[in-house]
Amino acid sequence: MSSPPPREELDRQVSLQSSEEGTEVEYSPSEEYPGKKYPLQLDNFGFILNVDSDGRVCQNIVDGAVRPRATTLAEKQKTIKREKKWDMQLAAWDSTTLKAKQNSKKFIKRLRKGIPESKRGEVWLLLAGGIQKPGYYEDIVKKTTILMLASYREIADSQKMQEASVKTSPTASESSSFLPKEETNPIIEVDTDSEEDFASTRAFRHIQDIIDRDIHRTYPKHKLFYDAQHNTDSTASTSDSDVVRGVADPELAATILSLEVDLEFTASGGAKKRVTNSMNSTLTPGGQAALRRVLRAYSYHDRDVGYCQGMNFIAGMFLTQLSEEEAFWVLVGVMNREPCHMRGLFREGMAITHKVLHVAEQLTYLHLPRLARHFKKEHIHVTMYATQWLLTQYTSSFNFDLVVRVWDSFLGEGWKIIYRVMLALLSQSQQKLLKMGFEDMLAYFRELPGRINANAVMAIASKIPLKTKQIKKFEREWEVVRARKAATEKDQIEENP
Amino acid sequence: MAARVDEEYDYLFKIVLIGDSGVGKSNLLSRFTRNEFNLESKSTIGVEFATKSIQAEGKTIKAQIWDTAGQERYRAITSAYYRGAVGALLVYDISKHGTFENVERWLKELRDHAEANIVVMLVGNKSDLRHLRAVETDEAMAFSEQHNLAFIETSALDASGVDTAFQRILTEIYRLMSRRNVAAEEAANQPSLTAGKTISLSQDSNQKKGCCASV
Repeated sequence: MSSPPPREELDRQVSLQSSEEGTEVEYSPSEEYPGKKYPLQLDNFGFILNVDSDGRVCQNIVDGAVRPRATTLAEKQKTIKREKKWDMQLAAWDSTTLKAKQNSKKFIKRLRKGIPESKRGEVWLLLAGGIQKPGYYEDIVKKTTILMLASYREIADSQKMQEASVKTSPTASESSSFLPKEETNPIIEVDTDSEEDFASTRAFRHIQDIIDRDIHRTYPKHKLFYDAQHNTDSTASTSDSDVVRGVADPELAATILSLEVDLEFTASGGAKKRVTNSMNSTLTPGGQAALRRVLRAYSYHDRDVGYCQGMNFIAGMFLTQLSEEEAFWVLVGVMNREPCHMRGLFREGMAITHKVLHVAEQLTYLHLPRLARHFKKEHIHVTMYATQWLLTQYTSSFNFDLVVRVWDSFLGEGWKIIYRVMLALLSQSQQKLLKMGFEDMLAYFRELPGRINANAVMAIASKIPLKTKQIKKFEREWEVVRARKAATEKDQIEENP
Repeated sequence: MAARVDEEYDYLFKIVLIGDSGVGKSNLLSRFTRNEFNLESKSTIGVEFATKSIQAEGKTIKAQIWDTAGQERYRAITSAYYRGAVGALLVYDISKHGTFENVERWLKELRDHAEANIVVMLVGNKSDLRHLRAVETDEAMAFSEQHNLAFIETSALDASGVDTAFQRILTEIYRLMSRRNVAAEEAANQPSLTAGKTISLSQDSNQKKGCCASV
């Protein structure tokens, strides 16, 4: 029985295809996925509803999956009205008027109502600062790909030489490189004029290894990221090593293979294509490779942050709405610019994560004192339920009908909406939670994302009397505690050097 | 909705699952507590929680298990959960040697943040990936003997070793604890059957359930 082509091979086919044919990528008809005989059933955001826990497409929608709701005529009319309003907005927009907009109450209110699906990508990109340097993303992808390929080929060669010296194997001298020599030569040139580039370092490769472990664990049921290959044959990586000739280490072979795909990809202009069309019931392969490239490029662009788990969900969510290049720039925007400014959450030490959790806990005391006291009595700590919510802005566990609404607002007004939604989720659940003990509450929180109604949550969220000065007060409080703690630690070090 | 009445148990032991990102901690937990393996699992952000009761030497032991995010950076959050834990499953992936090399760093992490007497079991997960094995059983066995750890290989995917791993660590904790608290138990005549108690291996054994995360 012949094994199906490895996933990266498919990505390659598709990236080439997409460069020639335009934005819509069709799944190649020869493609196999487990349970292929059943058509994919998708929700409104492209999540596959009929995939079981073994990753197989099955006949019926699995238990717990939320079926898409049919849109009513009234809703459709409302959408058309909103689209028109947004068209006018967008026509009047440029970067100078944008700043003023972001501070206007009317604008924030409009964002809280939700951006129409058809305008969302465009508005998000504008709010996050747009594509600041055209071509920069492709350049980074290309540069890091070339340098990493060179490093990995060197590693593969030295492994082979080691093996050869042990076994005196006759095959060892046959192939020292996987691409023709003339293609490898310019690689060395990139590196000669300065000191070692970050992309050639072991530290960078280590970061990529950590990224790799999250690629297949990011929205595995979304049609963009669903890995048919992985699910058809859990031992797929063995066949990869046959493709990359002579590399014995299957992991290394797979890495080299995916980098070779990236190299072809950069030449194809694929970074500019939006490949998602959530209503189209075909798989959209290539998403995993795209996510890997975006996260790699960001880790190169922002060395202080590199990569932190959680960023995979944020970047992956962007890829469901935007092209690869746009997703990269929106990521750069939300990490580094006001009002989102998220990089402190993810940097070494994750200091801002602690700050945000402190603010969240204090806001709970302020707005839901009974519940906060109940949590304390039952030893429910804020990190037990809110870490996922606040670190990934709800992207890691909630349905996308809530996620995109939160992000419509978050990109415009920043952190306040994140706290509002947390308080809304808690206040909605308060009566139930007050009757529960420790374990039941944790079980409740685990299942909560599947139970909520996004419209209801957003409606409650916008009515919570949360003031910016309340947030600021708790932020300052945390700074003081932190400074005091740092001072005590310093004293201790000075006392006992 | 009324609170569920807790099932009866004699002892409540808090266990943490630690180890590098992607070694299969979450799937070990779901295999043990719900007999599920999810090929479509998502990266763990922060901490996750589950419980299961087992029988050991005639006693019902309830395990309260905390599953933690694996990336080094998260330790600032997850290490708070080591407090009060009486056992740790330190997991590596037998197909990725780097995850085994990091075991020493995880041991240091436990020394710094967990109780001194915590029972640690080294778990080589993904034993189903025979053709990709990068850490030999002998190597891991020698390491665990040298560091005085229990050791087992498991596969959350085909379920082999998973129940045994939890059963063994819980039984070992129980034995250690009963040796230490033998006098106390004799004085109390018999352990409470309804309330249960969280057992701490240090002297102050009155840890309340859940009080593990004062960050």
